Amino acid sequence: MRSRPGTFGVMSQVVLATLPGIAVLVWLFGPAVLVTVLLAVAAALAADALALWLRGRPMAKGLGDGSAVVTGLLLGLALPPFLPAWMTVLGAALAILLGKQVYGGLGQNPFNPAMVGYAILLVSFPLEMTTWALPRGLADAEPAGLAEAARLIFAGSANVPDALTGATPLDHFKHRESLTVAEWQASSGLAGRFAGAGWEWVNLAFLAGGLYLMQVRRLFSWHAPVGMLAALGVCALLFYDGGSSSSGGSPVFHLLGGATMFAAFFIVTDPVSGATSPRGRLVFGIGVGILVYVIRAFGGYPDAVAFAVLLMNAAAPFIDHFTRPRVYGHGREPSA
Amino acid sequence: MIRSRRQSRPPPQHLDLPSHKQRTRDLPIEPAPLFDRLRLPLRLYGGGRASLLIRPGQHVLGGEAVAMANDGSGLQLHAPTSGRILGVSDGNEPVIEIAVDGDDRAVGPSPRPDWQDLDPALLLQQLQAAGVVGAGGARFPAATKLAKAAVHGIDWLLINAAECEPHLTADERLLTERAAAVIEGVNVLAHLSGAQRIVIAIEDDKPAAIAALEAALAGSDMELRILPRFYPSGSERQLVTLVTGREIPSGRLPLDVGVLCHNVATAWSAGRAIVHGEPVTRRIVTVTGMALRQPGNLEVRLGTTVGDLLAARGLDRTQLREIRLGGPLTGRRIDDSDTPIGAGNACVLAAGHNEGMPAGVEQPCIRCGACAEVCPAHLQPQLLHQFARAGDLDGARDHDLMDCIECGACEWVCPSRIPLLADYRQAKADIGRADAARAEAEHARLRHERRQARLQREREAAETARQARLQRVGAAVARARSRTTDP
Repeated sequence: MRSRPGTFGVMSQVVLATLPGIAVLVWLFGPAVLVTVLLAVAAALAADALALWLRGRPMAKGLGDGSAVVTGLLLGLALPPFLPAWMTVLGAALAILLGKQVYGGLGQNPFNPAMVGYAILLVSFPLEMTTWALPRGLADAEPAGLAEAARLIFAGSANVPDALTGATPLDHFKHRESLTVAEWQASSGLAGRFAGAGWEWVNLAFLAGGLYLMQVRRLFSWHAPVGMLAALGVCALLFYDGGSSSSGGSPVFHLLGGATMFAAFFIVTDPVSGATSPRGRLVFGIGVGILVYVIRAFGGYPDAVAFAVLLMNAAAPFIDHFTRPRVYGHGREPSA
Repeated sequence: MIRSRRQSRPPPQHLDLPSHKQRTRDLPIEPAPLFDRLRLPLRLYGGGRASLLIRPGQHVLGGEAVAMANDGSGLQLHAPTSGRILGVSDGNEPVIEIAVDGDDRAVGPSPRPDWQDLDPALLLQQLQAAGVVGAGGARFPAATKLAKAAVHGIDWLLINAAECEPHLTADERLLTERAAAVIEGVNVLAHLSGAQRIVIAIEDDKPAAIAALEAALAGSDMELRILPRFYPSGSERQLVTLVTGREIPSGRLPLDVGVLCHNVATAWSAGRAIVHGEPVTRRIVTVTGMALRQPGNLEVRLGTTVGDLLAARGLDRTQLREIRLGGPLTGRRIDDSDTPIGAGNACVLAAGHNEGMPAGVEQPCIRCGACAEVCPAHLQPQLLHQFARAGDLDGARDHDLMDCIECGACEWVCPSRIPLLADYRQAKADIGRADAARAEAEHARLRHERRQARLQREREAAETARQARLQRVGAAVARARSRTTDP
């Protein structure tokens, strides 16, 4: 009877569900992923504590809900593994301070805090933010070990050897010049079996964690994730044009590439900054899916989740206004 | 042949709750002990009240009328046993204090087996005089509802035996043990309402009650509708829609869609009142909870205090989280053990530490929408919560707060442990007060305008009269002049 989870329980489940994705990321890119994620979580907690102290709010209650941990975790997972430590700390702190606490804390923020932090970092440090670690097998060396990774991260970007980093598959695909899709797949080491090398497994792992939250834990309904994935898939299909040199990439390439599944199940499902009714969440997800495709295919950024989500966050109150469910006793019969 | 039909699926927006009924569902109804005092509530439905008919100090017998509703409906309250009327005490709620003499003498009932030959108007009067009110909680006078039904012209009579809230087994026991007496009452209500279709709706987790009903209904053309177990199947609006397919427009009553609803316990007391001539002086109450050593279904005299009743059943204060009058969702927390049991109270819950609404420190709303998924009125409680906390009554009204049926399902599922039901009740009361103030201001404005108009009319009339007087004087002067100058 006491099985209904509180806020802390919800947050713990989210953390648990990211574990498969984290495991695949660590396998691909080495322990640098863990270092960055832990840094982000620690910075998020510290920033939250600072804000609560400045606002004179109870510390234990504010930190104890676990929401800062989730924000730090989601941001850390979205960042390049070898991002310099101070940037990660800055991003996580700004995510909490400018993304959440300035609006009044948990539940009051109109934008997804992790995406706020990510967007600030992306526009401030575009080079560092688009230089990703190379996946296992593609780098000239094995992924850096824990001590080595920590040393590289804390020393700053100039010290990360070029052998370990490079463009992401999405980025590489976009700038493939005049190759057809098939030619790119044949020639590029970054092309994987279905999508970007390694990233397809990252996406499948986040899909598994997301399905656990949705189907087993029932933390959120299907509307937002399915809306996003369907819209992205449809857009990709429309512009695939059989894989010519001007193709936008196949639906599978987009669905299993970049941050798609991570976004669909861990970012778009944020209840605070999204639309609130089931129909509204479907619209919200569809909007994110379309924007992700538009920015990926026609925009200047390699991936698109943060801006797509932030734009739809801004539209959420509007969506809510037009997707109100019909209340019992209203509308079916002529009312009094 | 009786028509017994199963409804297989609950509506999409509902709540599955632990039933906790197994603790009391097999315990037969037993009479509650006779306590040495009673506090008979004078507060009636919708904030009305009744006044004493008996001089304080006077001795009364059980079944004697002791108070009458102030609204002219003819509704009466009766002494549940013999004793001395001490007077009215106005605490939080006005009650008649009765010192019980212990002899439990009563005026003899006056059965009317030939009731069907009597004038319906007379029967309605008898229902009011016997004090038959809605036992489901609202305590609306049954006869008033029946009279309205006659005006509206209804075709369904729906008897609510769903009893969907956890812990409650009072109606279930009543049906299991006294199905024939209940059906007797349903016949009275059917006779007086003129309904063509009579349906008794019950949840499918009460096989003993269903079997008893089926036996009692043999040869009758009433229908038995067996509902799936879900919360809140027994909520009037939801039940009407589930059974008849008709949706009650916002702000309207089941009568407006041709349905008359009565609780099963109301039907029982209507039968006792009309066929057996017994006024309403007791009801079946489920007394339960982890903090109670001896739970049960008791036939309780109205006015028995919660404290007396719980003490008689072994209240264990070390296990007690809170005492609730009513179920764990819709009931209210009782802090005064002198609170009496009234005609609308089917349950006293001595909740243990793990019973009732989930406890915990309130956290901010994260708009997860779990509340909206279970809201039977299809509201968005997460938005109503925002409006209610911000004091934005117009926003709350615009999002249809007034259509909230106060079932508490939203609060039950809230992961942030927000006391939503209390917030909504408060906001609804505030809206009611704001409306009353607005109506009062409007009334004052109209009164002022009417007064101004009246003063204006008076001034104009005075002016007209003055002009007329002047004219008369002028004419008289002219006549006088003409006489003097022209002899």
